[in-house]
Amino acid sequence: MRIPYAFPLAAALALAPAAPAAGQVRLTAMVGVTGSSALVTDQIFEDIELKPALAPTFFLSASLPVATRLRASLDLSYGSSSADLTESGQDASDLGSIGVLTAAVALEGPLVSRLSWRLSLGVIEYLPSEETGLFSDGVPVAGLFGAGLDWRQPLSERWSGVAGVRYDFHLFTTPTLEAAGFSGSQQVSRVGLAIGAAWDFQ
Amino acid sequence: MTARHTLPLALLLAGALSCAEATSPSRVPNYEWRLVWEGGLDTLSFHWPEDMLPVKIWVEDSLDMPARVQEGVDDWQGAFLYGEYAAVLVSDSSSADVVVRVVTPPPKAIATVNRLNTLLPGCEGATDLDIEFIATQYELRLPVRMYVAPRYDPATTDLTECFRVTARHELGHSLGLFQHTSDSRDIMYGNPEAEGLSARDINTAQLVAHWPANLIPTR
Repeated sequence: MRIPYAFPLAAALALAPAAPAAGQVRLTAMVGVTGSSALVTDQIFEDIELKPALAPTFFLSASLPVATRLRASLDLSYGSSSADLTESGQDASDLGSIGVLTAAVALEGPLVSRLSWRLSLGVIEYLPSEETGLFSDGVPVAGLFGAGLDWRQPLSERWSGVAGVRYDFHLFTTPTLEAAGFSGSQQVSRVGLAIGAAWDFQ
Repeated sequence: MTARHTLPLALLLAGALSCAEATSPSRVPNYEWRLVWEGGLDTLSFHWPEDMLPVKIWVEDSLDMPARVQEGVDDWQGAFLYGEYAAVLVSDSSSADVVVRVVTPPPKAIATVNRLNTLLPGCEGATDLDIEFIATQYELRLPVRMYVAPRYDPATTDLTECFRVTARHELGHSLGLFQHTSDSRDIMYGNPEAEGLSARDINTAQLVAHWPANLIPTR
């Protein structure tokens, strides 16, 4: 699924509504790591796999209540790591670094105790440091489905500590891969773990 | 809306997204690239090891040849998906991995040189591979020497395209395509006329880069 130019729009939408609803807004900032499944699997003599290494990731979100026990959230995340190529399981080469930016709208609600669930829809954009090889004609923005769990520990009237686990799924391809004869898109799953803090406006 | 309503919707969406399945290309058609050594005793395959990238190419600054070679480098780099080949033009021939001279190929200096010749109507080219069997392995003595030369007076005939095709062809030899093909649509055809790389050229170059090399570059 490709959504060219959708990322700036989604990012703008994600940031815009926070101010007007300030009275009920909760801002959350977290830092963690994200692991990804392979972006490309191939076979040239041996099996080849291109996969981002574990990426330090920043998560930001702004949420507000939209119903009883339900909040709507606008999420941004950014992580960066090396793009590692392995051939038959052995390290083959490093294709430079690759940044991953996501923007999503999410719904979240309480589950049990201080645990809450979240589901999200959004877009993901890959930002390779070098536009060579399979990245030479860029990487289109793709649609993203996500889910997660958050544990929230109140620290004061406004502040709480947060620990979260995030999962998302998207399809990856590039124009260069398509031109090279790849059909379809690679299914990519990512899992992130993060801790941070949330601040509730009164 | 509650979790009871949103969860089925999300699962439905995830299911729809996961319908696609990526399939990698077969790299067919391709052609034989390996050098048949000493009457068929062995076949030699070569690609630049990762720790030697980018390959350093020195080009004699004559007849705009550095620009032609740079175009060839750009074409070949574009054939690879995973950074298997990269090259830069350098100003010092003494440390170059590949040396390109704008001159008619001279007589072979030593018997171990394996020469691959190319002949076009307007120009000619050659690539010399100095190969020796040392101890337990085949070694490719660097630099690889390439020659490109006009067959007519370049002052009276525009040989730009001829130089472009020849440079691209000889660079193909330097990255391990050691045989000429029988298809005139390939840049590695013996007397090339193709204006770019064919699908067979690209498939074969990708195979070469991942095939186990038994010819090791040395200095």
